[in-house]
Amino acid sequence: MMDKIAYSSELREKNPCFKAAFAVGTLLLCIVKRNLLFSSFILIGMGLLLKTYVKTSLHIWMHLIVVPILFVFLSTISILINISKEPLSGFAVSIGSIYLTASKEGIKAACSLAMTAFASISCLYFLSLTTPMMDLLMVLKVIHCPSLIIELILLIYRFIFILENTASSIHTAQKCRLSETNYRTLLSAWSQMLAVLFVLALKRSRAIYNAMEARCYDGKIDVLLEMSQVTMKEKWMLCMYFCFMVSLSIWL
Amino acid sequence: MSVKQKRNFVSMLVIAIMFGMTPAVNAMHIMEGYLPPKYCIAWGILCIPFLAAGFVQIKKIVSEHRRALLILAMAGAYTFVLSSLKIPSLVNGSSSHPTGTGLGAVLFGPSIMSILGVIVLLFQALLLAHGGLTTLGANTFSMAIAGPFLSYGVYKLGEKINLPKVVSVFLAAALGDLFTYCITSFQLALAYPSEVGGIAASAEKFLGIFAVTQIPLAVIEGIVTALVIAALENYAKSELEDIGYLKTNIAKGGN
Repeated sequence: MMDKIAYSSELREKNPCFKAAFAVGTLLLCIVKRNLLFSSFILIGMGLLLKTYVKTSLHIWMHLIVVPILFVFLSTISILINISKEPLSGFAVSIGSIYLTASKEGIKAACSLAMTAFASISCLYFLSLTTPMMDLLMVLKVIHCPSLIIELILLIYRFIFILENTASSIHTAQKCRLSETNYRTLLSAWSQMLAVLFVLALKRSRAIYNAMEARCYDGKIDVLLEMSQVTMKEKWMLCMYFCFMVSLSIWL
Repeated sequence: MSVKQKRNFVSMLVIAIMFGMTPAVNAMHIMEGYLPPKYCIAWGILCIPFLAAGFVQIKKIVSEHRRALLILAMAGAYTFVLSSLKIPSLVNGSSSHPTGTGLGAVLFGPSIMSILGVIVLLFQALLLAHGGLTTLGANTFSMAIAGPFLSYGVYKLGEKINLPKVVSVFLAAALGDLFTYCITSFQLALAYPSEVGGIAASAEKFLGIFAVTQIPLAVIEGIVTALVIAALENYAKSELEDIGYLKTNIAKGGN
């Protein structure tokens, strides 16, 4: 999961609001502008930033890069290709009496769409590879998200790891007992596992509630959150950056 | 190769790639950066009333039973884990992710599921890079609102006309899944109408491409959900009663 990488990134200590403003601001500009050149510019910039500040293994990088490429490739193809009786200006492949075809404008639009998608994914990656979830909760607090929701997010985040562990150990145990012999046994093993997981989750939540009650839980989880200050220099740099990006997007 | 042979080769290649890759990706989420801004905003606004209703309901339940917050959190985590598991599918040995919202809708009711769903989608975007921040509204509408509400409706209808519980749960989960994917296709088609034939042709195209994985997946999700509910009824009666008060509260809130 990307959270693990975020904890070890070099930008981990920086103020989360600062990082979120940077990433989301760039993302919004990229979406609004939807231009091939502008997006490639953002993609290269974000790529360089990620390469310098986030250290992880080559294998993980490959995974992070390949998955969106597959995604974008598939969706863009389905947007690009038309099924029609007459060929359009770009290219045409005939299958029997119909054509798989696209116009030149269509190809251009599809290219800039794919690039926009890549660039915005790089912005998303920047945010999630440098900022752990707990820090993002602080950002939510700053933008006045209801405290009930923040608490729910915090608890869900904690429980995900517990449940994932349980699920994978049940899965291993089932595999040892030849649960994957054929498709029928596999499906029944899956559903048994999910049912047991649900029961275990409820039991666990009861135990956790008792433990919290014993520690004077009164409907509010107070955690000491440390937020590093944004220096004046960083504020100026962020301002300058956005001025530059906005003027670039107008100029292009 | 002659020109015709080359053409045939290329068309075969395109088809092979399309069939080969569809199962590898999760077709249900719309990716980051894929929707124009006006659609992002429009779908987001459309979600707000549902989310507000869910929020009010959760707030009420939590103020009455503080314990419920933890159960809800576990349910959210369960949905996340469920949707990140890969269920092997029959089609060429590939695997797909279930949505898991059908089960949640049947157990907890649709408006609570919408809040849990939006949190799960946020996690999926940030932790797994499935979906995205700007497309959160569109994804929420298709996966956390439309799907669960339809599932719940089908489940209630099944109860009314006295279908066996297993059958109505199966139908609820499978149809909810299919509905989610229809909505996703429609959202994409609306944003990117086809050059030939407009929105309808485009929707047909997306439905056709996603159908390869989604129809078997919906059936599998239906079977698994029905089996899970059956298993829970068999040996977790007391736990189900535990979450029962969530449901009675919903009934009160609905009146």
